[in-house]
Amino acid sequence: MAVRVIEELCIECSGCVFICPNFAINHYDNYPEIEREKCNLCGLCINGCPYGALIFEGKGNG
Amino acid sequence: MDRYDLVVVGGGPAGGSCAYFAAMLGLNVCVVEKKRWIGLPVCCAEGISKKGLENIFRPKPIWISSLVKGTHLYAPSGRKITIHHPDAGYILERRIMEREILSLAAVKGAKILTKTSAIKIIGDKEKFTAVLVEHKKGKSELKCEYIALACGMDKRVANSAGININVKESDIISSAQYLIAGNDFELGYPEFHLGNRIAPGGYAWIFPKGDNIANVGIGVALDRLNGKMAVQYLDEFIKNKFKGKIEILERTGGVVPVGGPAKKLVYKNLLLLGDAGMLTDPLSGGGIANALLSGKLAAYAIYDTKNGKHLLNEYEKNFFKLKRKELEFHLIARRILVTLTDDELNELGEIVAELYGGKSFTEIDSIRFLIDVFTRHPKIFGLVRKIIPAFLK
Repeated sequence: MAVRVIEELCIECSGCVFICPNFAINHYDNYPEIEREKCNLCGLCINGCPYGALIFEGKGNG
Repeated sequence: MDRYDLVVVGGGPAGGSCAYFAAMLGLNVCVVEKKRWIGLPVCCAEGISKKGLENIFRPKPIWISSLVKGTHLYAPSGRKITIHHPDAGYILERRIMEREILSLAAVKGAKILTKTSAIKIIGDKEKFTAVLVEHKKGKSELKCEYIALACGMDKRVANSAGININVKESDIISSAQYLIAGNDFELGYPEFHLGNRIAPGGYAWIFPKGDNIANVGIGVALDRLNGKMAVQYLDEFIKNKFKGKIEILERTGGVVPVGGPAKKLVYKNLLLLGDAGMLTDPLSGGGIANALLSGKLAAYAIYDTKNGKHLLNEYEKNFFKLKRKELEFHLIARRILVTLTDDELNELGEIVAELYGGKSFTEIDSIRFLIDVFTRHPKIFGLVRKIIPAFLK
């Protein structure tokens, strides 16, 4: 499982960068990028994104 | 190799204001802005008090989309309370204002690098020495004496300097906003709608920018979203509020820290400005006024420090001298308001209506207003009774 950004829904607010407690999200120009090595799948960014532009993708826990 | 007195990370209101005043004072300044366009996307309701803007800049007419002359407050019951407050402030045309402030800074000699991202703050034990940036030609180091972080929600830059900003969920607002075309807007009177059903832990707003256009948004506390997205609360609010035809022109939003300012705003030779220092107002979520102010104060503090007049800490001291009381009381007020039931909010609405409803004020002091209202509500009075004297001084 991983967190993915749905670019069509993203408003480029950088909110997810702020919400992530693990500093796992980068947002330079364009859309945010998730560093899988740092992401612990806590789901806070998914919960907090105002437009639901972040989702869990894939099944299982791997 | 580039070398500057000051590198400002972020070209929004905080960074722009800092760069402008620093350049005016003769400092060699560089602003790095990660976006292609200055001022976009506009993730903001664009309201600001008259003083909040005019103490820093004399606005040009094109910065302003409309004047604020009062406000309509809505209790959860739908009860509408109107307070007249001519000269209260402005609804900005923020993208234009930001571009103009940066161009004023540039004219005074500041270097402006757009589409350039700060990746990392570099330094040794004693001080920070450079900002590592990435742009289309690759990476480079901007060496400097001072660093101002005005990069809003991008807390990773601060983290690379060892500054850890983490805020609890109940102190973060998730907000969605549409720019809406329609014909239901009353120019000059922003609306604020409260209620646990409408916007748990936050509020909904309508900020008219013209007769036929408005910022309509909603903020909900992260811990009270209840599995829904902020935009779903917004869609519901709009469905109930507007009966006539409306059209959504733009979709914006963002995340707002409302837990009060960072404990420290100065780390060695690095300063936190605006949202990066969480200087947003805990009650309104507004951030522009404090961002502009922090930028100006930071620039003067850097100038004075460079000239050996005092320590950089002067920035933090001066900011809190002006703002600590307001930020603290607004945080207390927010912490209380989010615990109230809709019935209790309706009671508060009646108190506001009795004291302020339909009347006109040349000046409203927010602390005085809140204390006036709170002391007339038995339950809230019990909560704040002991601390009120300290804030009335």
